Amino acid sequence: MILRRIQVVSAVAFLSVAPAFSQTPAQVELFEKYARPVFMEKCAGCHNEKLKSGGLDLTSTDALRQVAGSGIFGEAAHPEKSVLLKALAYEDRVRMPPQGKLPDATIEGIKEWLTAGAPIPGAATVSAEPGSGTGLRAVALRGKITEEDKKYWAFKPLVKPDVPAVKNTAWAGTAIDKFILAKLEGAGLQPAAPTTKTTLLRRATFDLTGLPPTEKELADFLADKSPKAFEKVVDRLLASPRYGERWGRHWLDVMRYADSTGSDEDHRYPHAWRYRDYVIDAFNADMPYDQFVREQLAGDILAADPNSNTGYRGVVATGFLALGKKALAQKDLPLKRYDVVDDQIEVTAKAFMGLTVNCARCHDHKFDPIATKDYYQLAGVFASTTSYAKLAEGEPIQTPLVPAEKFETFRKAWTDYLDVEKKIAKIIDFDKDAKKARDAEEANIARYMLGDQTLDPKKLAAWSAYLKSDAPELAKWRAATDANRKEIAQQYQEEFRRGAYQYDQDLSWWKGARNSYPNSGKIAGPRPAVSKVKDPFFYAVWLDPKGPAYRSKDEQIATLQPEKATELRALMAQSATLEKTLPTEEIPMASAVREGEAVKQHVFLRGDYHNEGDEVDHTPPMILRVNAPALPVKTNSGRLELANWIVDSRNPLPARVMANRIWQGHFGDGIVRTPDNFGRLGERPSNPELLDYLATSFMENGWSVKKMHRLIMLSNTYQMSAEYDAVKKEKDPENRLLSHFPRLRLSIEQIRDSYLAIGGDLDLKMGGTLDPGVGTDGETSANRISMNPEATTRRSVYLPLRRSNLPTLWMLFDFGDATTPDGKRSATTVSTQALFVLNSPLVNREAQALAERVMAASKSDQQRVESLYLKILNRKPDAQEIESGMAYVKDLQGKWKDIGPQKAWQSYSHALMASNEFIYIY
Amino acid sequence: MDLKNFITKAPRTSQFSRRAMLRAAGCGFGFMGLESVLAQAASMPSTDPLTPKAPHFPATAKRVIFLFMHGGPSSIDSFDPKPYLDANDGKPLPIKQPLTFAQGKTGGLMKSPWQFKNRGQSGIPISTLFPKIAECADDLCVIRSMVGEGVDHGAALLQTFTGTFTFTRPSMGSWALYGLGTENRNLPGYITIKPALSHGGAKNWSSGFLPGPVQGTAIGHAGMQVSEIQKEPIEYLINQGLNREQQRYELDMIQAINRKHQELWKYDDELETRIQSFEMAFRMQAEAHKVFDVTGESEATKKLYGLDEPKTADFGWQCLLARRLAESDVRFIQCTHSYKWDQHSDLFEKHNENAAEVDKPIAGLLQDLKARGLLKDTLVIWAGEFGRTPISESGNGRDHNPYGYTIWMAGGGVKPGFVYGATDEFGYHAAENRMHIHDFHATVLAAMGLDHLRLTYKYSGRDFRLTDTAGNVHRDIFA
Repeated sequence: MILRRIQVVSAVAFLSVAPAFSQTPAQVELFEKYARPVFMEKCAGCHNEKLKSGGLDLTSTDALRQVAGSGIFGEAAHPEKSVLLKALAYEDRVRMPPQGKLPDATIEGIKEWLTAGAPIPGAATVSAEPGSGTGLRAVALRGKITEEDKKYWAFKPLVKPDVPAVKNTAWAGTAIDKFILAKLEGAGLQPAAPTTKTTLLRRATFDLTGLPPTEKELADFLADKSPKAFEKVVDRLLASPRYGERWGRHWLDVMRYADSTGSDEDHRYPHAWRYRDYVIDAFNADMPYDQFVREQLAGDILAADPNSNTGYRGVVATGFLALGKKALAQKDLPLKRYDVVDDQIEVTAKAFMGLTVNCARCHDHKFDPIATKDYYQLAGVFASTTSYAKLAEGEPIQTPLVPAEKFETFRKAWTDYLDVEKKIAKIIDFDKDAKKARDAEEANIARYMLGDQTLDPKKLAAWSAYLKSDAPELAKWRAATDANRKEIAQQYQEEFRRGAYQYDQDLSWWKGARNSYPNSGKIAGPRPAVSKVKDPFFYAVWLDPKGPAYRSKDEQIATLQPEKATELRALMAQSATLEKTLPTEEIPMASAVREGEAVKQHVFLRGDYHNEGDEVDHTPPMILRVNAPALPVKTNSGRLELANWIVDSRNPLPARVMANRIWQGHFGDGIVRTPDNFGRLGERPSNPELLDYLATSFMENGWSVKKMHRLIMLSNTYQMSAEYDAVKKEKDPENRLLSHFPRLRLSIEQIRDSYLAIGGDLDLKMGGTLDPGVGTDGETSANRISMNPEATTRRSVYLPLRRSNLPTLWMLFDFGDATTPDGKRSATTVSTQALFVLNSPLVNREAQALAERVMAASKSDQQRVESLYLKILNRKPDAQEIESGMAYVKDLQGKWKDIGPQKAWQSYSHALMASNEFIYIY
Repeated sequence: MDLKNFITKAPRTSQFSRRAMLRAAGCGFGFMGLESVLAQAASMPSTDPLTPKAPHFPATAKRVIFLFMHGGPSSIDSFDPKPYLDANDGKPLPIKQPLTFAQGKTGGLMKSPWQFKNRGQSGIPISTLFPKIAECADDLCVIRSMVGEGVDHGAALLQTFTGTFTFTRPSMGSWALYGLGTENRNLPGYITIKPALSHGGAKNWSSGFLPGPVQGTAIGHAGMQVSEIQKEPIEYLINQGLNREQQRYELDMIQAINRKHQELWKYDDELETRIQSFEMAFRMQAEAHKVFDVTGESEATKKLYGLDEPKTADFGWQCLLARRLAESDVRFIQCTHSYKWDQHSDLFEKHNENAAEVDKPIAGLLQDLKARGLLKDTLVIWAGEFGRTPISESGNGRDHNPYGYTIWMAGGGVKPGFVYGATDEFGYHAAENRMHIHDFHATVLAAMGLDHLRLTYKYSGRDFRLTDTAGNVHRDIFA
């Protein structure tokens, strides 16, 4: 339609203004301000070089000049007559854009540009600069690396700085201390005194293991008068397997680890936990960080090389790429694929390089030197990596961790069996048939109960027998009066309907999931059962063989034609035989990615895959290649090359970013307080020399994370007291210079695990999964919620996380969303957190367990108070605290008869567990 | 020995920063009136995201009740009559079929099995699917031109509640609470009753990158029985071990321990904040219990909402609770009719069943709000995540249609007895006054006195808003 119109207009093109080729800056500005954004954002989707919808290409200046030649822009003196404006104003039959009329102000802008004679900048002004590749760009800034970009602190090469001179040499024992002290002295501040051994032990133990110190550990440390006493503690804590559980969790935050796809359907990743265990193991084993990075990005490729000594561990390591959020029901398949790529780019760039690059999916980064082209270079790497086994069906990839034949045997045996089951269902789907009969009965339940004689007499008799029984669920029925009997019968019918609805849902999800078990190397659990306790009426009426609406398999088969019934019985026999030989051992598998076909990646203009720009290589962003040249791509995707390039020692970002994360783990804030963003929108480092000292030390020490912990924790800086005065608060209110140790709030994992530990209930078993399922659950099923933290005594890091419904408790205490990389949690204080501390069954249960133990262990009230202080607050109480505690326990019992000694001690334990002193680290 | 001897007195507020004092006041301490809190809020930056804040401009709605019909009720069978379908039943769709969910299973055009009638003074056509809501026609502002992009439920829910299905973003209720704060600190400011666990689940009421306290608080979830929910409407609300007096005594001990500890750290405001959070939690236990207990309502009221009939009892309870929460100044309230409206087949039978569960409760809510004078400043919204196609699926059902569907609003300053926007003659695409979900968000915020362009939050280095880079307020729907 529009094409024909343009041809008509072309015939009178000689009347239109000749497009001006030499432009004044003011004219160019009109184009940049009004015309370019509209063409790029609203028109380029169809009117581009490839699609040329209506014969129009509006995506480059050259093309625009051609369009101008057609006369579509009209005369400067009469812009309202231009075809373009009429289409935008929705005045004519051609209405553009078809999705809806643009705001009046936007159309006015175009009019202004037309009135100026539709100026189009000359080629020199906007020709594609190297690195851009978008041709026509909204902001013609990036793509060219400027000297200023190269000088930006985060991109500067990493050089070990000189240790500064300080005045208070007595205090500054280590290089770290000197870097800290130099800044403090510059600001006229002094470091705080060393903290007490008691406080230091609590601080370090929570820091490295996420748990409080035991009484024995405290006694040992206090008794050890050697100068190496604390060093011994640090080494002991670093050697504890609890260390990996605590510090692995920090890393899992960054990798937005979860056990389900989130987004729309929230299916489980049944093997994601192996990646979680891999991370915990890696920290415990002090795997060099460069190896850790390489394995996570390209472990599958390394695994294929026997010399790499990686094996299946490498496959598992790529889990972070495989377990991102996925919109399984998305119908737009290319979009579905590139949304996964986008997620993988986001995590890779933020986690390893502290960069946000995702805005460059649609436009050049407005602040950092990251061009759209840079983004698509990375996109090429991940688009050539397979994340879905079946894209359209929404089946994420799963990789067996056994030889292929073994997995195939397993899969085939189960699939053959399920195929026979499917054949049976084709003759008669027992469940569907039963449901059909049930649906027919459902509407009549109230009438049956009321004894409507027009109904089937046999069934009426069955109902009458059931209603006469002493079944407890019929209590309400028995209590019914003539006045309300009808209403009560209705209520029963409704109860039945609800029960049936939930059962149908659960069953259908289970069936759907059962078919995908073989591909997951897993064995389906039993069919969902109706709970006799929760749904007694529904069960009694329909599922109990004596129930009035029960329908046996024989009854169902009896409805079939004889030859069909024979066929069915043969199949059922076959199924029974196959069932006996089914493999009973599950196959270990991983949520992992694998190499896909190498794609020819193009830039997608405005992020739209319909709209392809220049082809790009699979390679890192240009700004980062200034320091470390990228290797040529030899693997299909370029993932291994990317991984090797990231940990190239000439690349300054990874060491800086990880050193900062480690520092943040100890002090709450990093030297850069935006750990995932070292770009211009992030914060600047409070002590850049210290950061570079740490980063270079990190590499010199073979990328050992544990050595970094020792380096930091054995400094006087780490061992300072948290005390401060008005002067410090005034001069450095946020404690950026670290004149004292900060006050830190325990994370939710620390809080929950400590309560369990204090109560003596913490289960220290490591690894494995607490959710054996696959697929998802009924739409309204409570199984959709992540496992309740009250339901297990395992450490919090092992609780499975369903992205769409994280536990309320996790959400209350700032866990984050497990969907976007989150290198730093916040620490809010709200009353709903207090509700948990006051009322949660878990907290009260542990307080009770603790009280019982303490009462049994010591007979004197004073000793009991002392013991509780040591167990909960990890210190001895003073005289006033002892007196107050004893008084409280006594008063409680005096005031209320129903409170005996045990309940009183429980309440007192609970009070200490709820206190501010417990939840904060000093 | 008296315990009180050990309780260090709370430091006088003058010792604390103004920030701490404001927090204490925000937690409901009676010594400052709301006006003074607002005045203080204006004069100093607050770190408490729930402190009441003045709107950008005068609001027509102080609060929102969102009645969400999960699954996608059919617009062309309820509020958007299409005579073209009656005349062309069974014929092929004469326009290009847009991306649908159930590709390959769809058939030709299918006329509505319900009759439309002009209702009330305004004459708004409403089908026989909703006979009771039809009686409230003169209160409704029917918007027939909604547009979204989500073709599947998950995407459509996420877009309806957060504006996007590509990213994880804060929900609209969280934005409203962040923008306005809440005047009743004894209840959460954003409550969602029986929300869906599927199709985005808690992401649909999460605070995203906004401060945690503005997230929605779920009361039960879809699939739970009301009787179960009533036992503990908010997680961790009820203490199983101690009665209220005893718990107060224990709390006094906690605070005594905290006061002593606080002496060591006198420059740390955070400690006072946590002390006050416990006081507020204690009050919330009592207050919430009162609000959630509907037994004191009159028989007439219970009947009005259909609490006396099994079919309507569930959603009736939700609607009645919504009114009680509205009376208690909860800022954003949502009721969800669980995932039932997804009629890919058996449209007539199942839609009738679903409508029978919500029709009376919703009409009851509108009448009750009106009678109590609450409707004028409460914006009631009725919506699904999309509508359904004019073409059939599986013979007697309809597929998803986000390209042009109907929602309605009532109260809160919108024009009563008014129809806004239109779909094309088939009821497939919005054709007039298209209201994209971004526009819908901008318009709802505007009713609450918030400018969607100014309601921003800095995250990851840049300002974000509910409407991303889009959104137009449709002023024509306001009276």
